[in-house]
Amino acid sequence: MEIKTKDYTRTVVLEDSSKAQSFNFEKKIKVEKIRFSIVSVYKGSSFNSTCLSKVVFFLNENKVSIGLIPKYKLCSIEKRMDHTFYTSDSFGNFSEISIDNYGEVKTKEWNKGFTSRKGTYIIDMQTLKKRSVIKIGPPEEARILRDLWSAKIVFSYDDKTSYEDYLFEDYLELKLNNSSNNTFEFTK
Amino acid sequence: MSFFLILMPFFMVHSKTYQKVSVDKLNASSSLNQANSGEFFPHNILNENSNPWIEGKSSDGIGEYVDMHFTTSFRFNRISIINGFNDKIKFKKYN
Repeated sequence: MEIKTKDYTRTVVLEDSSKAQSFNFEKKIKVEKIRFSIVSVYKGSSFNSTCLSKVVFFLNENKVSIGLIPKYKLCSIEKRMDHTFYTSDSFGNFSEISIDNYGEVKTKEWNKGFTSRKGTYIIDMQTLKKRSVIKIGPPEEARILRDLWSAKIVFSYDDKTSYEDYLFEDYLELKLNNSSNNTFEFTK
Repeated sequence: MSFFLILMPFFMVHSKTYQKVSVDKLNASSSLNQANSGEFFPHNILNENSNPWIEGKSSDGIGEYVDMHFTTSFRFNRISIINGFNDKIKFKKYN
């Protein structure tokens, strides 16, 4: 595995096993960005040589504690033909949200956390780390009027186990146009 | 002397204070995406007792990488790396 910073590069040989392996550096390496690259694998290797479980930095005997920044960003949104949106966030989590034009709010694996059927929906990011399908439909009056309606979805994440007191928040807004051709628009 | 004994635990604790830094971005060139579950994304390497990051290429994975961007710079002179699965059951499942 190659460890590369702005002005330092070193290749280390990891055993093809699943145990902690330490590497000392002859000087103190300053880092703001670091890349860990797979540069070779064991011939006939098990899966171990191409996956990374944990990285810990030390300065002398002191461990450098690394946390994620206390914010959550939506990075990408992809709309699919079946009215499903794929989203990814700054931590590599992603979720699948499918939009239904009936007023049902359902999830496949999780069915709580919605504060109301219209207005603001709260979705637990801990759950979205798993595969979640969330169906959100227009409220009753929108179906009657066949007009535009919008719903704000607030993503919040507070994983006290993994990230202690960090709280991540972002939102996206869905505007569903169900007036004529059953198409849906998405805005962020 | 007694004054020193009272203060000694204080200094002992503070000599082991960890430096704290934050990751601004954590990207991987690819990630294994089993049934769209997001199980093997790069943020796992900061998380205790989680799955690993696994590259997502169908090839042997050479050239794949993880980038860590920190909000502030820091210095280190030792790295400890755990590669592979820490879970024998999952190792068999995905291997």
